[in-house]
Amino acid sequence: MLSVVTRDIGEVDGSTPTLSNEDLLQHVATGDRRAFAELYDRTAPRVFGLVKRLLRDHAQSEEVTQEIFLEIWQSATRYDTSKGSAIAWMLTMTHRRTVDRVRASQASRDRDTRIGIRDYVAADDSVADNVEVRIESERVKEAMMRLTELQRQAVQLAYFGGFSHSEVAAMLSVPIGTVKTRLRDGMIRLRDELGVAS
Amino acid sequence: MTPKPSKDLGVNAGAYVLNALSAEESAQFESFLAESEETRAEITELADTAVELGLSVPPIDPPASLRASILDAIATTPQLEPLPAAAEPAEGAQAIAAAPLATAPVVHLAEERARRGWYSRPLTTLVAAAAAAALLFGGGVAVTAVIKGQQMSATASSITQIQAASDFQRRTVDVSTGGQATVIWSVSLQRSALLGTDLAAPPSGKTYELWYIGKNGPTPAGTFDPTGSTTMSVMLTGKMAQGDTIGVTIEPVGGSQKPTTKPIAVITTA
Repeated sequence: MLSVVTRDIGEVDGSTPTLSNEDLLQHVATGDRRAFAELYDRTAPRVFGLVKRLLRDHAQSEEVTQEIFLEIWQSATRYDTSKGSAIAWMLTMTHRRTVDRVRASQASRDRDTRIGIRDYVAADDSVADNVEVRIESERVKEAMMRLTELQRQAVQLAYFGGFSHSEVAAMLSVPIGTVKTRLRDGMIRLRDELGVAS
Repeated sequence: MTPKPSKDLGVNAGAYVLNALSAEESAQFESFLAESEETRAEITELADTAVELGLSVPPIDPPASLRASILDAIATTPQLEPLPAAAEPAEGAQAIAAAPLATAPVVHLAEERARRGWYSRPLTTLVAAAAAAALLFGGGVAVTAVIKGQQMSATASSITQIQAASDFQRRTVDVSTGGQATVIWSVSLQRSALLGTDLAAPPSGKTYELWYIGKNGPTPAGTFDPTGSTTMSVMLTGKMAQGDTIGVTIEPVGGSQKPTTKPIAVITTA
């Protein structure tokens, strides 16, 4: 399904991998545990960073990261390079599984009421600088600033906060239908700004 | 959410790739996707865009202990069969069913005989889990496959959570009325689940009841009826405390507040 993102995670820590992440994943699919360890070393900080961004709780983040890497191990046999890069496949799985945990977790409901609105909405004027929504990539940060305020808030709450559309609607005091429209329009705008195309 | 006509579902594309839809809406949207090539193309691009958001989050090095734990876990976790070439994308259920069940043999690990007064005195006979048990329910997906069709997916995901806990443990005993019971638990999550194999249906008017047995005696932890299936699973209700023993008795339908019969299975977790 994913076809565009081809950034090699190996570049992040300056290592010079001889095998691509996609190659490694195909080795993993044959039960190669050394390849899995290498893939883990390259990608775990990305996965853990995103999980922790969503869950905040350290212990839960470790658990979910373990679940995700077990799923990567189990389902590497179903990874298809024609459907996109390894990191896209892994981060898509990471977001989905972590949001599953957010929804399932009682702690998350406490989190929503305690810190959700404060961190995500009140600080919106300086969204890009807010440590809670810290965005590393200048490119993504700039693209974000091209969205309307409501689009940006909705996308950030959904992706970085793991909130459902009804929660986003409640937090922004707009109807759910409006949130859906803003999420779609916002993502289309981001796609165009980031030059993501099939 | 009130279901909408499918022609309006395209508006959900953004919420879908951001995992902001409810489970029902997601399923509905995926059916819609099968019909709409245009929306499929949009979803591909928006999903890639979401990945860009993910890549913009600063990486954090996980602790070394997590690496060790994961590498340990994969050593006993079976991998899925590759999808058949002609497989359609939206076939999660079949995909799960294809999990390698061959790795889950029924193994008799120990004999644990029920005794009168079982819950009122410490149990000294520990049931040793054989190394082979690691294969029994080695991976989350295998567990999902084992219990497929028996329980709601909520149970499957709870079991996966227990399995992913750093202090995940399991133990299998014979059930005196037939079959085996495996308990998996995590003290840190305070949760446990029972996986039954070939359990006998309870007598008419009776049900199986689960118990947490701690310092203050037995606490009810839910009832279940393994009717007509070779495998089943059930999450225990309430919170597990460290050192609790888990017991199963046969009780009148509706369950009892205290055990009224001898246990048919006893699993120590200390």
